Amino acid sequence: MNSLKPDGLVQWTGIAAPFLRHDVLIDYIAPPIGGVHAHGSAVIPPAGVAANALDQGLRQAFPLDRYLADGSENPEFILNREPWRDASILLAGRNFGIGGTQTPAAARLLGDGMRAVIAPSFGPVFLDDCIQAGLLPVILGQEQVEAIAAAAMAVPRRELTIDLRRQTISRPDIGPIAFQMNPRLRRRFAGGLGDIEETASFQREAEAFRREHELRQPWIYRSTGEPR
Amino acid sequence: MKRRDFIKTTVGAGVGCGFVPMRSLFARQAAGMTMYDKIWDAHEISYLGGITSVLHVDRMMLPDSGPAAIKRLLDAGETIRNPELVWAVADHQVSTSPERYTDRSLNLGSVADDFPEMKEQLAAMGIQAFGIDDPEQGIQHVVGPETGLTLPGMLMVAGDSHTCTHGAVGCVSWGGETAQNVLLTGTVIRERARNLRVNYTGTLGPWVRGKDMILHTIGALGADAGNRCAVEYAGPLVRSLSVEGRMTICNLSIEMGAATGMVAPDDTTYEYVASREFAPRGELWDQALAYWRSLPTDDAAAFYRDETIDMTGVEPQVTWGISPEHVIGISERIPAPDDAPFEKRDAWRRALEYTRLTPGDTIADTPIDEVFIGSCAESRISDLRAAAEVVRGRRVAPNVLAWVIAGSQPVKRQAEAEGLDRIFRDAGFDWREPGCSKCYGSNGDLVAQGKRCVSNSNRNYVGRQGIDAITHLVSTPMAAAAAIAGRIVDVRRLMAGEIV
Repeated sequence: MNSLKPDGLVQWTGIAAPFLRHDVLIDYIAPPIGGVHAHGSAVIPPAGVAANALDQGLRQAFPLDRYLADGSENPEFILNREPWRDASILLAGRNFGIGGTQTPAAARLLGDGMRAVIAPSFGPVFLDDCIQAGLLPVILGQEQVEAIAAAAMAVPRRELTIDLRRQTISRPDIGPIAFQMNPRLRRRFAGGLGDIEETASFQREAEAFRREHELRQPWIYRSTGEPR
Repeated sequence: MKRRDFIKTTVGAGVGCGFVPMRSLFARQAAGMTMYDKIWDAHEISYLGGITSVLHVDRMMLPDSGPAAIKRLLDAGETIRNPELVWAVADHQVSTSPERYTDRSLNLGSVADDFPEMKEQLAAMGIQAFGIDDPEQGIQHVVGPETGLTLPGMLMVAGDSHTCTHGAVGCVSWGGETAQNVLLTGTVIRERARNLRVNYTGTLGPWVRGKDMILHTIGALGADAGNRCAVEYAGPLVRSLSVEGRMTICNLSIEMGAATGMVAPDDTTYEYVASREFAPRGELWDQALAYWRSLPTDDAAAFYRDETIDMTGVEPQVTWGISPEHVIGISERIPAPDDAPFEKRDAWRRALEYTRLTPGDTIADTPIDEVFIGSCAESRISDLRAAAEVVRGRRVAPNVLAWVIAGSQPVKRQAEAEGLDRIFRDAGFDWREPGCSKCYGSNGDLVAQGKRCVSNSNRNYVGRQGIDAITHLVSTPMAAAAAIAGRIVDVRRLMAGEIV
C-alpha cells in the first residue's frame, strides 16, 4: 500500500488523527523529567503522569493524555480510539511542539507509528527534532488543516496521502492541496538521510576548511585544551 | 520588485521548511551585512542551495544527559573530528546538595563524572570535561563565557536549547544539535535564519534590568515572534548593559522562538573576554581583536524585521501564565481571556486555570510557597549581588522555601569572598552547589506538587518545575523581594520601605 522505501519516504498514505490543540508543548508530547538518565537508575515521575503510566510514558508520546489517573487508558483521547489508534499522520494545531529542550518528542511520535505531522506552525526546537529524527513536518494554512481534520472526523478510515515529489496532500474527497518544502529536505526524507549521512559527503571539504580556518583564526584552536 | 518585498513574500509563503530560492539576495549582493550573516558566511563549508549550508563548528558543548551514548562512540573507536573544539560540563543532572561531593550517588551522572576512565579518555583527545570536582564546573551557559571557551565570532552549538545565551559575547550559538553528528563530522547542516533586530530605547527605571527588557519584549512581540529568525539586540540600552546583563537577554531568545540571539561585541565585551582562562593572549589576542572589530552589523545592512522597544516607564515584569509571553508589569492587574487576541483566548483561559489566578486581581500580593534564584538566565555574580542587596538585613518570610544557586563554582567562590553567602544564609535562604537544579528538575530538585514558585529562570511551562507547580518568572531582585515578603511584591516598594 505504501511506497515506503526501506527508510525513506516519497509518498505516504495513512489514517490521519485530528489533534488540533494549539501551543502543545514539546515537553507535553514527551515529558522530559525521568527517563533522561541514561542508566535508568533514577526515574523521577514526569509531571502529572499517573504512576502506572510511567513505564508507557517513557516510550509513548502524550502520556499525560493517554492514561487516566488510575493508570487505565483514557478512552476519550483520540489516539486511543478506533480507527485513530492506527493513525500514521497527525493533524495538529498552531505552534505544535513549542518550547523544548533535549526531549525525544519526535522519536516518540515515530515510535507510536506516526510518519508525518501536518500543522499550521511548529515550535522551532521540535521542527529541528522532526528533521533530525525523520518525522515529516508539513506546514499548511490553519484553514486547510481544519478542513482536513473535519474530513478525518467525518470519514475517519478514508486515508490521506502525502506526496513529497508533487508536494501535495490529498484524499479521495479532498483535492490535492499544495505545500512547500525545500529540495534539500525533500531529498533528505526521500532518502531517509540523517545529519551524519548528509554531512559525511562533505568530509573532504570540511577538513580543508578547518586547515584554512586554523590559519585565519588560530586563537580558536590554540586557546583550547591548554588550561593555564 | 524591491528586495525586501521579495524576501517577505517568499519567506511568508514557504513557512517553516523554508523555501527561499536565492540566498544571494540576502548575503552576497547586499550592500551591508548583518553580524549573523557575516559569522554564518565565515563558517560555511558548502552551500547546498536554498538557504541551507554545511557549517564548520568552532565549539561543541556535550550534553551531560546521556554519557553512555558518548562512551559507546568512544569505545567503538570512531574518529572524533576536531576534539580540541569540544567541551563538556556537568550541570543538568548533578545534585545541588553540599553532600554531593561525598555521596556521589546523589548525582544523576554526567559525561565528566560517570565513568572514571572516560574523563581521561576525553582529556587524552583534548576534550575539556568539567565534573563536579573541577573548579570550573557550573551551568554550561555560565561556564562557556566565564572560561573564555566562548569567544566573539564563533559558531557554537550544543544540544541544550538555551545555548543562545552565548550570543551575548558576539557569537552565533544554538542548541538542538546531536552530539553524534558534530563529534563525527565537526559540522552541522542548517538553514540560515532571517535577521530580526530588536532596538532598545528610552531609559531603565530603578530595579529594572535585562530580564525585564526581554520579558517585556516577549510579551510585546509574542512567544513565536522570533520563529526562524536570528535576533540581534541593539540600541543604547543594550550597549549600557554588562555582558552578564546581555546574557540574560540572549538567554530568553529561544522563549521568543528564535533560532539564536546575539549582541554585537564592543569594548565592554573585549574587557569581559580579556582575562578569561581560555581566551587568547599576546599576539593571538591582537589578531583576534582585529577580527572581532569587523563583526558588528554594517550600517547599510537590511533586516527582515526591525522592532523598537521603548523601555521608558516599563516596570519590573512578572509572568501570570504558562508561557513567557504571559507577562505584565508588577502593578498591573491579571488580564481576562477576553482581552486576548481571538486566537489566544483559549490559551489564556487554560493558563489562568493552571495558575489559579483571577482576572482583575493584582498580580502583586499573590501568596507564594517557594523562591528559586539560579539558572542560566540569571545566576552570575552581578545577579547574586543584586539579590543580596535586597536581602541584606532582612528575613525570608516564614513558610517560604528559598534557594540560591550560583551558576558556577567561580561565581560561588566570588560570592563567598564577598560575603554574599552569609547574607543569604542569615536571611534563611539555602545556599547550594552549582547546577541547573529547580529550573528544570532533571536532577530531582523540584518545586513541591501544586506549589507556587517565584523563579528568576526562563520557563514557566506547565509542569516545568514540578508536578502542577506554578512558576512566576521575574528578575533576580524581584525573586529576592518575593522571598522576603512571602508574596509577589514590587522590589522598588520593598526597597523604599513601603512594604515590610
